Formats: sequence, structure tokens, C-alpha cells
Amino acid sequence: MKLLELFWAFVKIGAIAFGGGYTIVLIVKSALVEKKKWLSEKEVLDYLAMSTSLPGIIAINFSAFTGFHRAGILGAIASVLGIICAPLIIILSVAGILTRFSDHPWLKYALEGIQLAVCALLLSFVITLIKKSVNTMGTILIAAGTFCSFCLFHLSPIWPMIVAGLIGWLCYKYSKKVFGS
Amino acid sequence: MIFLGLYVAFFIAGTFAFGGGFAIIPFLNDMIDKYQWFTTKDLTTIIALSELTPGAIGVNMATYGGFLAGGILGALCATLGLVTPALIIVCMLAHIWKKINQYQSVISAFNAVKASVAGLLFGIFLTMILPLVSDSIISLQNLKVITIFTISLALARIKNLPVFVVILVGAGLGILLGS
Repeated sequence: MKLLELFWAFVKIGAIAFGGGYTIVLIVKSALVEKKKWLSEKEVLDYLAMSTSLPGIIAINFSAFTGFHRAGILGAIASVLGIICAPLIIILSVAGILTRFSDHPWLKYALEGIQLAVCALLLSFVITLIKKSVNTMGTILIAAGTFCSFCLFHLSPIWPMIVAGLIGWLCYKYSKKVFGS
Repeated sequence: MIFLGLYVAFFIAGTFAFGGGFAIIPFLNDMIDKYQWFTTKDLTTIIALSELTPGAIGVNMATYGGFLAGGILGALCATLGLVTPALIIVCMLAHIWKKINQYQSVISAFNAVKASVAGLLFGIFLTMILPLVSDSIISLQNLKVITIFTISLALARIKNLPVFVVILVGAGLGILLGS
């Protein structure tokens, strides 16, 4: 019963959460903290901090933490399956429609504009990321090095990320100074 | 066999995605080269559709990318692959994570990885925008590209403006200037 309840609560959250991660946290706060009292406000903040620093999609990590908190491993699985439910159905229906009308000239022109808007969003995200995380000599070198390796070789993104992680870890090990701060 | 491939590829993306939904874009880009599941042009549509529909952006990207590669079953495999590592990591770390997170060495490593993601995403930005730019520098096509891109970037930098507004304005400008 607890599992079904968790699943359904997260199906509803997934259906109205536009924009991902942080929106989901806000909805969880009003639905699960204030209405259902499944967890406290402090727990929400803790789980958010943990979800952000762990690898993986923030919203998924957060749902898994909330589900785990309420009903253990099965609770985590129920919440994550719930949160992907509505988007899965919506995307599949939109994708079906999109492929049917893809020859329409208006859609073609619209898609060209959308591609440029997406490029702008990506660059804007990179700017924010650089302001937040690329602000010391070391981090600038890593970002530039990764960019060059991306342009020169078509490597899987895992390798530059693993190398960067190792460098950050070794730097702390030998200098006792946190990398990038 | 494409379904197992999708599951594994998105499992890897889910394991290494540091810093939010956009962090899986380098992995989608890698799939274009390695498996030809979709094209660079599809990638921008994947991102746009994921922003326009509710749900976590990373998950939506996996769903639509998986759909393009292998239909509805492909979408399911990709999405489940993406969320599996999160489930494993969270269930394992739920109790001990607070302690690990205080280890300065872990923070050091994560900081370096985030810087690396910035470099990767800038590279992908170039591979996405360069095909849209025409070879002759002064041309109607480039004027259109510069106009739409500049307006979109200005909108994207406005705090608290919903992302779907940027995409809808882009679509409107595309129709307006294209026809």
C-alpha cells in the first residue's frame, strides 16, 4: 500500500514538473512535506544537496532518496518508476505526432529556429557552469584541455571526466588543498 | 540487440552525468558517432522536446533518444538504463553519503569533473551550431542565424524565465524569418 501510494504521488509530480530538477523539489516540498508530512523540510534540503553532488539526474536521485526514506529499496524503485511514467507517455505521443508532420514546411522552419534556441540555451548553461565551476587556474586548464581533446579526438566523454577526477583527487592528496577553490 | 545496447549506453550516461540533465548531452553526442542511433540535428530536437515537456530533462532526453533509436521499447530501455545507476548509488549511499561528502578529496575530484563537463559542452555547442552557419560569411542565412541566436541567448540569460519560452520564441522567429 505504501509503495503504491509512493508510486502514485510521484506519477503526479512527474506530470506537472516542467523544467526538471529544482521544480520537482519545489513540488515535493508542497505535496509531500506540507500536505502528506512524509518528510521534513530539513530532510528535503539534505536530500537536495546530496542529489546535486552525486552523479546522475538530480530529479531521479531526489525521488530515489525520498522513496528510500519512506519505504527502503522498494520505495526508491517505486518513486523512480513513478516519476518517469508521465513524461514517458507524453514524449512518446509527441514523438509520434512530430514524425507524422515532419514534412510540413512550417515545422521545418520552426525546427530551424528551435535548433538555434537550443544552441543558445546550451551556451547559456556553459556560461553559468564556467562562472560557478571554472574560476581557478587548475579548473581553467582542465576545461580547456577537455575542449581540445574533444575537438581533436572523438573520445567517449568518460575518459576526460575520469582523468579530470583523478587530477582533482591527486591534487588534494599531495597539496592538501581542495581543487578548484 | 539494439535494446541491450541502449540500456548499457544510457546506464553509462546515468553513472557519469555530473551537474544536471545537460550533463548527459556529451554521451548522446558520443552515441551519434558510435552507433548512429540519431543525427546531430536530431540531438537539438531531443533537447528542445525535453525542455518543452514536463519531467526531468535528462530523463526526457533518454526517452526521446531511445525512441528515435528503437521505437517504444527503445525508449523504455534507454530510460530504465539511465535511472538504474541512480537507484543503485542512492540505495547504497543513503546512509553513508553524508560522511563521504565531507571528504575534501571527493569534493576536489568532483570540482575537476565539473570543469571538464564545461569544456565538453562547449565543444558540443560548436558541433551543433556550425552546421547551421552558411559558408559564405555575408549571406541571408547567416543574418537569420545571428538574429535568432542573439535573441535566444539574451532570453536564455534572463533569470527565472521558463526555458520553454526561449524555445517557443525560437520556433516563432524560425517561421517568421524562414518563410
